[in-house]
Amino acid sequence: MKTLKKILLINDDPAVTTLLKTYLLNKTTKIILAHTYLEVLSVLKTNNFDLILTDISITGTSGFQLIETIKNSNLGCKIIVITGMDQENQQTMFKQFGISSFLNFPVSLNALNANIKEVL
Amino acid sequence: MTIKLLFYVIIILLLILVLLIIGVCFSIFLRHIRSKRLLKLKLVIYTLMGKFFKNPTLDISYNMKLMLEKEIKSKLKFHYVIKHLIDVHSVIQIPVQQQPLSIIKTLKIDKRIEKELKSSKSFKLAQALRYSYKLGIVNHINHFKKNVDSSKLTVRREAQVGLVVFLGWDSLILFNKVTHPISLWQIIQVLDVLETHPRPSSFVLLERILESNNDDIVCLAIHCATRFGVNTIQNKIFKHEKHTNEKVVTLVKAYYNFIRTHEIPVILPLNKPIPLTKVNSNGTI
Repeated sequence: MKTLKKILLINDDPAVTTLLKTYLLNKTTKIILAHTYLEVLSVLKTNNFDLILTDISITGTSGFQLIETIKNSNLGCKIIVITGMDQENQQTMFKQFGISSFLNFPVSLNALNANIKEVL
Repeated sequence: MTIKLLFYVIIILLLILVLLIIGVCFSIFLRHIRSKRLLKLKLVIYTLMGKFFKNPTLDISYNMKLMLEKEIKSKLKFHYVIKHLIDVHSVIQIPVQQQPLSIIKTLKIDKRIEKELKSSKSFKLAQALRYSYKLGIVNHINHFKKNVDSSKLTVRREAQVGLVVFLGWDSLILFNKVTHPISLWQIIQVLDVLETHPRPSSFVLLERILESNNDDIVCLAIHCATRFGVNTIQNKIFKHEKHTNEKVVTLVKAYYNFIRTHEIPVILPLNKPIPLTKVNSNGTI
């Protein structure tokens, strides 16, 4: 029996998280959504995630604080950043934070699948 | 008597004020309800698209179809639904061939857009053209061909971009029909869309539009040759060196400089960006 993988989707826009949730949801995954920093804090307190797909900045925090919070509370989890900001220097900085991969919106489904497969 | 009158006036003014406050509160409440409904509709569209990406052959569930059909009867919500179907492109990359045409056809959105394509109002026609190419409704291609040289700026602008979206490099030949001016912004848009298509094996069509009587089309061709590093038609481009239009001459010079300072492979690779190498002033690469 396959173990249930827990994924957290973080984005300001509920439509974006809904779309990704519908696309990624299957029998082996459990997906939780968070749209604000407070929601992120509350779900991180009560859950352990295998993978977190997050935007750089969401309501209530800047990018690095968000990543730091995630890293501190979920040490073993993999993080994939999906963002509209296409800045190479930021990508390098995020890599230093231990981000597994960095994707840009609009995201290619092949790239998304490949990245998730690689880390899960 | 005057005190009584004053009292009545104050009462009436107070009544008006209360009615005004109730009106404002009611409108805020209605607005809140409306925005909640629109958000719900938006989430339904994104859920639908998520299901489509997961399984493109999956039919829309009966309940969802009924709900959406009912919603898009309203003109406002029809445009709202299309706006979000298009906005999904900013989240997920959708190639033209993988557009959610099954959803569009099931909801009969294509038929309604087609009706607007016959509109005599230019803004409606331009909007319908834009919707058609953004949603990948390739069946509407004839409307694009018909309007490529429309006298209305917005219409021909959308028709030209749409043709490039649908036909890629083959659409260039249709630019020979264009007699109206093309702005630099429009040229950039056309080139941006061309970049998303596989590179052709030969640039004969680019060569043909270089012979256009419309100077702006010649400019488009030279811009295109420069941007994509096309060096196989340089002789044809240099023929415009003494063109009567100063804009064309400047572009020929820019093209010449580009060719001179870049190492371009003789055989151009298909489907891949040309590996241009910048040549330094001392001749080194």
